Amino acid sequence: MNVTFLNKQGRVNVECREGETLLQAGLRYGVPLPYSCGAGVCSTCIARSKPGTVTSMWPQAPGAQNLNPAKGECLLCQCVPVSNCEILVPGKVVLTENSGMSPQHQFGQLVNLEEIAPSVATFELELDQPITFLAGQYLLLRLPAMEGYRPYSMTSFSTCSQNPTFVIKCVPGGRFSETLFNDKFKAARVDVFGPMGKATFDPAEERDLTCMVGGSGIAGIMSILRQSRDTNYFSEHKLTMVFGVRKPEDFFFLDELREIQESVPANINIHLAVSDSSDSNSVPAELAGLPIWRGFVHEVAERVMAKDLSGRLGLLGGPPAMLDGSLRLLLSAGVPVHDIRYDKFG
Amino acid sequence: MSESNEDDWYPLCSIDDLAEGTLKKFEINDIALVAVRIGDEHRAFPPFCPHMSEPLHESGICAGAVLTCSKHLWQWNLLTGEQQGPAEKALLMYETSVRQAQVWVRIEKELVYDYQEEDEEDDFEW
Repeated sequence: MNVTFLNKQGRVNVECREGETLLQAGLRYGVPLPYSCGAGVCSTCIARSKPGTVTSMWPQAPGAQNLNPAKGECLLCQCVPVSNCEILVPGKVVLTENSGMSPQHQFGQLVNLEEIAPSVATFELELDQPITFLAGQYLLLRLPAMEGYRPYSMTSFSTCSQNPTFVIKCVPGGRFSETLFNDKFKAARVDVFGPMGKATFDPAEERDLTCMVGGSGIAGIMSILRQSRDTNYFSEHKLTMVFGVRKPEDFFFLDELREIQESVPANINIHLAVSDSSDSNSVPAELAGLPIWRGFVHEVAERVMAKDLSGRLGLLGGPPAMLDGSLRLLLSAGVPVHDIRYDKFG
Repeated sequence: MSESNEDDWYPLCSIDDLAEGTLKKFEINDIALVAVRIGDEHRAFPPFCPHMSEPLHESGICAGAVLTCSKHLWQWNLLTGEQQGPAEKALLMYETSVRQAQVWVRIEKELVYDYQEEDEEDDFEW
C-alpha cells in the first residue's frame, strides 16, 4: 500500500508492507513521525486518516480510548492501511527531514529466560540479523497471535549486536510477559521491529547524569551504565542514581550496580529505594553494599540528590506514577525539559 | 478589574484555597476550569492541555511560573499563557481578580481549544 504522510510542512510517500503499521512504515523510511511507546499506550502518535482507509490491529489499546473517530483520529502505531491512503500528522514536525534512524523488521528467538527476582526475569533475543542501536533504545516484540507489539528496552550494549538482553516483569494480564513466564524457558520465536526510542545517551555528550528508575524500568539505564562503564565515562563525569522497588527482595542487578559504584566511588552514588512500608523492620540499612532508603524513587531522590539535579542530564525509567513523581522533582529543580529523557511505556 | 459586564464575574474560591503551584479544578455554571496561585498572582484556564486535551489538573506540573503537561512536556508561562519549549499552542486564560480575599474569575463564554485547526490543510479535505 502507498501511504502519504502530510501536514502543513510538507508530504512524504512510503510503501507500507502487508501487516505493517503506519508508524513502522514511516520510521523504516526515516520519516520523523512523533511517537514514544510504539505500542498503543502513550497516544503520542495520534494522527488522522480518511474514513475507511485504515484499520486498527488493537482497537482496545489504552492510547486509543480518547480518539475522536469523527475526526478520523487513529494511532499510527496500531493502524495498518486497507487501501492507499493519506495520513495527516499534527504538529510542526518536518516530515521531509530524515530522522537518521532506520528501524527494520526481522525475527528472533527468545532464549535463556532466567528469573532473577520475584516475577522478574532476564532473557536474550537471538536475532536473525545483527542490529545497531543506541544505549537506552528498545525493540518492539510480538509473539505469534498477539494483537500488537510490546516495547522492551535492551539492558545490554554493543555497537552491533545479534544477542541483545532484556529484563521483563510478569504483569498480571499482560499477554507477552504471562506467556513467557507460563512457558518458562521454552524458546519462543517473535516478530521484531527496531531499534526504537529517544531516551538515549551518548558518552560524547559529556554530561553528568542523574538516573531515577523503578523496577524493570531500569532496563534502558542498564544499557547506558554498561556502555559508560566500558568507556570509562565516569572517571570524568558524575552519576547519581536511585533504583526503587517495592520490597528488598524485589531488587536485582545489585552486584553489577555495586561494581559500577566501586569502579569510581568518588563520582558515582547509587542509592536503593523501597516503597512498601508495611514491615518497617524488614528493610536493612544497605544491600550488596548500596544504601537503602524507604520511600518512592522521587522521594528518595529528593533526599539524596537534590543538590545534584541542576545542570545534569536526567534519565528516567519506570511505571507512570514513578515517572510523574520524578518529572515533578526535576522540573521543580529547574531542569529544562530538553535535559530530561524517558520513554513512556505505561 | 476590566470594564466588562459585571454579570460575567463569578466568585471562585478564597485566596487561601489555592496553594502555591498546585492546580485545582473548579466548575462554574457547568464550565470546568483549573486555577492556580503563583506568588500573589492567580490564574484560571481551561482544564485541558491544548495539545491532546489531557486533564491538566492531573497531568500538569507547576514549577515557579512554568506549567508543564507531563504527557508530552508541553510548557507554558503561567503568568502570560505563552507557550515555551516544545509547546505549539498558547494556554487560553480566563481573567481573574481578587476582591476581599476572594478570587474571582471572568467567564464571558467557555474557552475551548481548536483541536481541529489542522482541517485548514489546503489539500486535505474531509
